[in-house]
Amino acid sequence: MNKPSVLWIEDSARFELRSLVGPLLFSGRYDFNLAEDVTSAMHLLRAKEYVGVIVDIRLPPGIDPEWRKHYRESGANKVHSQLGLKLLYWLLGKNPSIHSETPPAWIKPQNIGVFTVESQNEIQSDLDALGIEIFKQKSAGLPDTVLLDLINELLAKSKLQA
Amino acid sequence: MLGMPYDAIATFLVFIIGVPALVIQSMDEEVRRAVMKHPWALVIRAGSPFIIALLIVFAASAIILLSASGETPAAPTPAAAAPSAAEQILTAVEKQMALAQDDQNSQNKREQVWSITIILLALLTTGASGLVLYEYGMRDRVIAGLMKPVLKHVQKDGQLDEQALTVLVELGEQSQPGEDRQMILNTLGELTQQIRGNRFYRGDSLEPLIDGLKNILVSVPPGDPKNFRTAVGILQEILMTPPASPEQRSSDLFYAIRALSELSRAALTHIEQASEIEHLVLVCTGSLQTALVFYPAATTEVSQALFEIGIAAMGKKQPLAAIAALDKLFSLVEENEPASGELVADMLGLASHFWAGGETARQYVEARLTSTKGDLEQTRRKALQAARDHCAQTMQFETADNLDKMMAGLRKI
Repeated sequence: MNKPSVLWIEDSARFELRSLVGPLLFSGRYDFNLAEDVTSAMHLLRAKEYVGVIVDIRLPPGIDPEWRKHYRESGANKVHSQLGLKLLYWLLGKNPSIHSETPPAWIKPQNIGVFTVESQNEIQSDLDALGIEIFKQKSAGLPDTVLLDLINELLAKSKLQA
Repeated sequence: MLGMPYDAIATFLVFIIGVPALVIQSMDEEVRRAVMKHPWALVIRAGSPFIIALLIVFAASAIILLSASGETPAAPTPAAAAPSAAEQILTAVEKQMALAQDDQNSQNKREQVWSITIILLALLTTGASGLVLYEYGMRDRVIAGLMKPVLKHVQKDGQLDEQALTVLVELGEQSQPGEDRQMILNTLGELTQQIRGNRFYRGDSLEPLIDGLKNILVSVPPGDPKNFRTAVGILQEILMTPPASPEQRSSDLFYAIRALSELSRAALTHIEQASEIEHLVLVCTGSLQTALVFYPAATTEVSQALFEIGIAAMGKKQPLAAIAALDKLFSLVEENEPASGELVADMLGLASHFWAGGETARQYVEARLTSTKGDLEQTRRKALQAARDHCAQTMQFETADNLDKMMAGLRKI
């Protein structure tokens, strides 16, 4: 039986990558994928369904011209452009004008968790608008299993809602 | 007679030739080499203002000469009765005054012509120098200039002009890792999108570009992580875009798979920061697996690429990168249940290196092998034997030896 596929869209977790992804790979429970920019994420999400998608808010655009335009228009700065949020608004069909492609039909708010440096207060209105319930702030002192735990939580919740 | 201002004209002519010479002198060696691949473009760009300047000077000289020859000498006085002495003196004075007036007029005309000439030369020099500085003074402009003929060809028939592309790729290979190389990679990224978006694209015209991309990064260490990320992004674009039509050929896809494998292995060798390597290899292995959604026929190529990446990561003591590759192989076996052939040989071959790598790694592999037992077409013993034979035939002797050890170890369990 195929393992559930999960996708982590994240570009800056260089130093904690081994500690965060190691437990996931070692568990052998998930088919884990990593996208490091919005273009790659879009390619991966278009290719197949993921039971869980963990998204960072601060993302670079990649090589797609439309995402690059959004990035430039907001000062070519990951913090200000918040491409992760734009990606979510596009993916969940809340703002189709963000990108000319049609978002994949399978993706629902319950497939998505947000794991970012921003505090929940800062983006709560966006999370509410998008209908996303799973959120974790990146901060000091998180356990190495935080990503695995987040995915487990996401999957448990989406099973319940299903 | 011409009254030519030689000093000023010579200064402008020297300037027109001197600025391009200075710009070429100040270029980085690799950029100069790339520009000199098409010397005529530079000769025309630098030489044409010089020729125009000479023509302006010749035209000015001609105007002055023509106007001097066209001047009418004073009409001789008709023969008459012998003038008196006073009249003769008066006539001579008038003549002298007329001559002086003529001289003054032609002097004024010459000055006017040369003033206009100098203004024209100044404008020409400024314009030509500015243009040379704009086109050749900055690396990104030089790259844009090199890109022009490649793009022109692509827009015409969707094919790459290999000769023009080679100049770009060679510049990328010789450029320093980091920003200089990034400019070339960004250009190749744009080119990839242009080709793939072209209505003539049939899935088989990117080989030279993919080859060039790989050569740029594999050529000289140390590697810059950002350069690698950009190259991987371009290959992802090729791998993860569904074919536009069922007739589309898949040769670009196969080249992209090979290139992704080589880039991952080059990253393991050339990049110094372990965290960057891990990140890059995780992205690459995921892209390889995802490409199979659109091109399931490439399973063997992908499994071989994952095997090569995993072995290289083991050799470089990068456990996360190695496990990422092995995990993808296990996933592929599950997705292709009942799996057989080279896919299983690659999975078992890489697993055997973990088996030989220490007790904890062995336990990990054992647990994963147990969970995939039902996914194999053959029994595990037969699959191991087939994998061992495959590795021996393809001269992967170390892997074959490790498979022997794993077979012996698993028999005891």
